[in-house]
Amino acid sequence: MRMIRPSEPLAPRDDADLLALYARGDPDAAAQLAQRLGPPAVALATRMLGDRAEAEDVAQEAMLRLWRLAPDWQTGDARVSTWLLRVVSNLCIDHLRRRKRRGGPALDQVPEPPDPAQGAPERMQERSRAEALRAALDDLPDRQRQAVVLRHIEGLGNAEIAAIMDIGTEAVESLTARGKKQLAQALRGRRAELGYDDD
Amino acid sequence: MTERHAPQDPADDDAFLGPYFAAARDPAPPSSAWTARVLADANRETQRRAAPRRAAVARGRRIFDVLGGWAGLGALAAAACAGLTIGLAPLAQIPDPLEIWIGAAAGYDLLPVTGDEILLALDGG
Repeated sequence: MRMIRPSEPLAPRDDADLLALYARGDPDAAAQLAQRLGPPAVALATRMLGDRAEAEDVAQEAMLRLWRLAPDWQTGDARVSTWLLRVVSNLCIDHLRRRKRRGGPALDQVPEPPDPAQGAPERMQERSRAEALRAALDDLPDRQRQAVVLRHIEGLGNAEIAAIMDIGTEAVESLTARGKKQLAQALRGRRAELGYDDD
Repeated sequence: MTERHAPQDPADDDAFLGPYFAAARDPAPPSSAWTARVLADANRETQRRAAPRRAAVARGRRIFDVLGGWAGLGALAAAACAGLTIGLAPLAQIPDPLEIWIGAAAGYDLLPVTGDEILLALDGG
């Protein structure tokens, strides 16, 4: 059997087509799916968990579930990317609940991954903003955090978020509005501390 | 640092949060080690799915070999067809096995008396 390699050339195909090809044993299809779906899955998990290593574990688990589901995937089902992000979201929420039960580190206590451009003052300010946002996100209820991350950081539309969270679009709008309000309140309190009270 | 009045309008919240959301976007892409792990999972899953099919093929092959391959299977099929044909429509030249066992023509009396003897007995003769 030919091994799957990450560096093989890509051809434009629908995710569902690639999944069907993978289910029939095409190794290139898995590589293409991993390259397409991996970055948003890891990014979402990183935003929700605040820990890169845990996020990669969660995203890997979600991808494994996708590989297992591949032979039974129905073309008329949800988009593959939406399905995957839903699995990532649910795994993250489970992870956060377990973390809270264990009394593990809160989101704002998780160290930021090293940044090669850390010396530049503007990057320092960006890092401060990102860390402040992570801390404020950590105080949001899980569903609000999930909605805000998907809408405003991952940049997804309300309809796709509704599919991921298995709720209606009005509920998505409500969750993001309440989440943003709480975030704004929390971050305004830290604005002077972060040194950019001019925005 | 000046402390300003916090705006309450949702549009103001959007403008205020914009730079924070921008700072949080574009995390580093997954590492090559992560991609390699994910593809290893995909390979393992493909092999796991293929394993039962391979086992079934191997089982079938063993039975085929035990029966003697194509020659054995052909002879078995011919014998089965012949048996079926003989059972359904025996050839005239082939003797009746019942006749061979009993040693007489097929058909025998269940009672050791004839029909006439029974009638005479009923008439009181």
